[in-house]
Amino acid sequence: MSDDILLDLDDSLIREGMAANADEIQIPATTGWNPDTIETDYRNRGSFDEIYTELFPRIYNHVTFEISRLGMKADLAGEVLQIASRKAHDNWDSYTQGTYALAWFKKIVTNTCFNLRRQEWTRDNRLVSTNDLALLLDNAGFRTPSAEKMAIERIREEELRAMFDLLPDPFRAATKAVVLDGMRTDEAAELLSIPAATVLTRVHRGRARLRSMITEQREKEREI
Amino acid sequence: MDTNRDCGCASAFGRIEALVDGHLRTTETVDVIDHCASCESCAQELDIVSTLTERVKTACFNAPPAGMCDEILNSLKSNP
Repeated sequence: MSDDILLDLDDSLIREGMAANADEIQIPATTGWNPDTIETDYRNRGSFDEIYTELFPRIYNHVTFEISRLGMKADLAGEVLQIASRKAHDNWDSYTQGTYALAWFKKIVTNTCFNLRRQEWTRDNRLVSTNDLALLLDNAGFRTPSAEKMAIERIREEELRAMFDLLPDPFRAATKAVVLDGMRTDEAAELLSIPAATVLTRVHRGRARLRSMITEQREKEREI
Repeated sequence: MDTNRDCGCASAFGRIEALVDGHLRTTETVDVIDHCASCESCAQELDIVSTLTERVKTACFNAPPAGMCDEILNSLKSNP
């Protein structure tokens, strides 16, 4: 198991409740990945206001994504964003200029969501295992990113929208229902009048087609 | 006995999209996450599917409310 995975599983990286502090959040050193050399489509140097403003749509989206994944109430997005933004702002000195700023913000958002969720879990007497932590920390961009992941991170929003529109109708409709509208498989099946298994197949193929288009786009850019 | 709880690569890999879409039951979720914690290729697949899903949502759906960024920045400055 690589060092970064071990770090992902380290319970000590998650702080209790509101004591969670970006000061203690570090991007761990990983073999073969130097955060200074990560190419991004945004600036990784500047004041808090400059970088925060540029990244805000993606930070906001990460908040809604984590809230949805953790089964939290959607109306908590504003509170999570406020708390996470405060932590980031107050600990801006701990961000190393030139490193992967989006991952730094995402880590704070994920910790904030998890801490709020854990308070609910604790109230509900539900078990929170180390495995839950692995999932939550996994998504914050701290694992050595693959070339495909970096290509997905780099693609511009208008390009991604265009690719989504290029999906064949059946794939696009199923992907929209499940991924964008957050429907359960049975709900999407009823909406689209197809079996649930077909919904899953079409969503999978929709994602696969997008991945293929992104990879092809990246290859074309390299040729140029 | 739950015969669906095989969690080798084939099983986990096939459930990663369902996990990201929030469609797995708790036991299945734990199985897949357990597997990903010790399997680099499945963990990488989880990372890619999560990232793609998030980017698609951002691009196609999930713009923050207008003015929200400025409101938060102002509140950070006015309530140190």
